Amino acid sequence: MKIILILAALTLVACDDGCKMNEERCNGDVLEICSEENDWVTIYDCSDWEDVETGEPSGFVCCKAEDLLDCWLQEECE
Amino acid sequence: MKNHKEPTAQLVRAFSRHMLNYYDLEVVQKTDSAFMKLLAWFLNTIGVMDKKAFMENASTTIGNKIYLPFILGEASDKFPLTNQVSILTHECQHKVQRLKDSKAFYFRYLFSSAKRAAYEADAYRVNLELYFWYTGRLLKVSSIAQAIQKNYGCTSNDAAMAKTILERSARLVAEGLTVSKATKVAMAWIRENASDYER
Repeated sequence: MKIILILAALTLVACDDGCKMNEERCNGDVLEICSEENDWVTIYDCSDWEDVETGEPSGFVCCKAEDLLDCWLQEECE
Repeated sequence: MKNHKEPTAQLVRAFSRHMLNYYDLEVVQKTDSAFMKLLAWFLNTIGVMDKKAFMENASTTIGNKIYLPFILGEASDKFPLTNQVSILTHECQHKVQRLKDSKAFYFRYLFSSAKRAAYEADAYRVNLELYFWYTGRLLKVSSIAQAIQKNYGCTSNDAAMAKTILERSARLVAEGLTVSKATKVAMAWIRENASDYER
C-alpha cells in the first residue's frame, strides 16, 4: 500500500513538472520555454538585460503585456 | 563585405588573456589532447557530433579548459581573428552556464538534446551580440538553428526551440540590449582597451 502511495505521489510530482512543447512562462525573472522533452528551459533572464551603450541594468521584469510573455518594464505589465 | 576593423593578432592575444583569466580557464590545443580524441569517438558513437567535425571545427569547454582547433592570434581561412574573439567568448559563456547549473550541466548537455540545443542557443547569443556590436548587422538566426541541429545531434523540434530563443535574442540585440554575461565581460574589455575595434 505504502509503495503504491509513494508511486502515486511521485507520478503526481512528475506530472506537475511537465509542460506542453513550445509553451512559455515566467519563472520569476526568467522567461522559459517548454522543450520537446516537456521540461522548461531558459530563453533569457530579464534581470540580465542591460543597455549596451551605458552598461546600466534596464529594470525589466518577466510578465505578459501586449498579449506577449516577455521582459517588460514594470509599468507595462498587466 | 566588411565595414568594421579587423582585430590584430596582438589584440586577440591580449583579449584572450583577459577572458581566460576572468573565467579561470586555460587553452589546450585540441589535436594535442588524448582526452579530446577519446571524446570525439564517444560523441560520434552516441550520435551527438561527427568525429572529424568535432576535432577540426568545434571548440570545446570542459572544466577549466577550452580545447581549440586553432591557435589564438594566428589567423587562418577557417578561423579569422574576428571569429576567434567570438568563439572564445562563446566558450566562456559555456563556463557561465556550468557555474550556474553546476555539475548537472555536463549530464544535461550530453544526454538531453533539448537541453544541449538550449545551451548552444544561449552561447550563440554571444555570437549574435558581438557580431551586431561590431558590424551593426544580425547573423541569420535560422542558419544558426540549422547548425545546432546538424552539428550537435539535435532534433528538428530542438532546432525550432533554439530558433525561438535566438529570434527573441536577435530582437533584443537589434534594440541595443545585451544579455549574455560573457559578452558583457568581452565588451567591457574591448571598450577599455581597443575602442577603435568597436563599431
